[in-house]
Amino acid sequence: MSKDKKTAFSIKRFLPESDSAPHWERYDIETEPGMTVLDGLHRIREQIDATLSWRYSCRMGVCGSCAMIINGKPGLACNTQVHDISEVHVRLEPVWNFSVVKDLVTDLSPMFDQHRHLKPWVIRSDTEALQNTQAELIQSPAALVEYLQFSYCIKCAACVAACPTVAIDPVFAGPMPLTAAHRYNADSRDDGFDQRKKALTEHHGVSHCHYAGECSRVCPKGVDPAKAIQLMKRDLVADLFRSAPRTPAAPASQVHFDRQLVNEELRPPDFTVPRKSAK
Amino acid sequence: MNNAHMKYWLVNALCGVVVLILLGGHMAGMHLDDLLALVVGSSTEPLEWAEVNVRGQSRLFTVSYVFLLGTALFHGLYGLHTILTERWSGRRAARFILFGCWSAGVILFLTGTIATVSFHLLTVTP
Amino acid sequence: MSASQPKQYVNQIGIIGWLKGGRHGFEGYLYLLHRISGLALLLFLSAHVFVTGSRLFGEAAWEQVMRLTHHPVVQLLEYLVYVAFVFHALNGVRLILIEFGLAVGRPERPVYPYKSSLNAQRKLMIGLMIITGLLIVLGGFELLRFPG
Repeated sequence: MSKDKKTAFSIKRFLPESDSAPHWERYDIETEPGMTVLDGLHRIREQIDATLSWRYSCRMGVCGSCAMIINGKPGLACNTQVHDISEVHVRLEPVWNFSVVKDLVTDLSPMFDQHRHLKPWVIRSDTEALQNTQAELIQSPAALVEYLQFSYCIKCAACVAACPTVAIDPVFAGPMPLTAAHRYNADSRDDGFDQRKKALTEHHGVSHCHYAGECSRVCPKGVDPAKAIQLMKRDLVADLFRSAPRTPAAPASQVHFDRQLVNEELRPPDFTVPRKSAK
Repeated sequence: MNNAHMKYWLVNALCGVVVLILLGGHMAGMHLDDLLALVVGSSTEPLEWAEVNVRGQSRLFTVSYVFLLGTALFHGLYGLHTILTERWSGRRAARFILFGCWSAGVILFLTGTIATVSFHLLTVTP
Repeated sequence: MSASQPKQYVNQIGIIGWLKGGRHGFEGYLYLLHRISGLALLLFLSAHVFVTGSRLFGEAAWEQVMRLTHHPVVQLLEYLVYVAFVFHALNGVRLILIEFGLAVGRPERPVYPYKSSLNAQRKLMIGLMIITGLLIVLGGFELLRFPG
């Protein structure tokens, strides 16, 4: 690729002091294979326009700060290669459905308000025992897998930007909060299902998700929020027909340390330990 | 009240399945009759007055039509209610939309049921 | 939030955003079509109750209504209603299976490249869309015969 060829970055800018509405601005910069959109933004700021604003932090896809709309699809700027998108024209907008503070920076507080409302923490009744820990909350690998994927969410808001219900319904909880609710409902250590069920009825809850699947399509961490929400629907419907109260989570207990158990049953499936003779 | 949303959602899903079966049969009978005739033999034109009368005399058809109308109206108006409450999500709007959907449903259901049942009674009376 | 905070620009993309906001996945467009077909069917049903109710007023009234509905434009619209029903019904089957958690797959450890419930339901979606296409074509043989 010759040095003269430049990639055009069209960025939807908004300066609150002077603009009444966002406007597009174009920046032409050289790009190389391996460059991420985040690298491109830095290059624009260094070489052309230092007033350009966006959020970023880890630059490696684990903090969730740099979510934005890249050529019409929500994603992270730091793990999107420019040349995977286009060598000619890259269009960047702030994430949809959130108020724009400046340029690519948005106000994510409505999403975090919804998130907090659904009680995204382990809820148990034995709080004194947990504060004065003498024992552990045991969880089998199978019980872990029930919620683990949904715990990998980095709260980047790409899913909330992509959701067509959020686009028209500001009261809808949104994919990230609902996934967080299911992550805790599905956790065998948690007893908060009834409290979250009540919280879900106070805003538009799962019944306003219609499986467009856009959230799972854009999630950069494979969390699959759409799946979490449908599983939570299943749990809520099952709860309608429940006659007995829910079984509470198992209390904390001492682990009997058994080397054979540790080596064979608690080992992750893809990890091999050299076999020793049983003791 | 706590689980009202999920109860209505579940009823809507069940109505959807019922409508799928009944309306599927209705569509097949009305619009695929020539194709079905290739399979089962001769057929009659379902929209001719004579055929309308045959269905009118049948108690099974009458009851099925009323059942289809009720479930289809619930399913359709639940969908409309969902779309409207998503677009207009305030509390006052919610009451207005709910009232509007129920009213439309009751009016249409009564109209259709009265027409269907009256026609049945007219056709079976000698 | 103090009074001196600079103003923010409200960025809810709304229904127009569904159409021109950005690229969507195939399932996202199915969602849109499901809503449009549902509204069309509801509208049709509302008229249908009154149109078929005319049979209560005797053969002459019925024949008059039949003459009106045999106009080619009305026939085409009726075919579109049939198409809307076929799509809405079969996509609805897909949604029932998904929304009861039956066709979304199990929770699993995410391994890059990530597979999601979209992958799990894709075979079902393709199968149902093929049947939809077949039924739409089959229906066309009967519903699109001009003159009637």
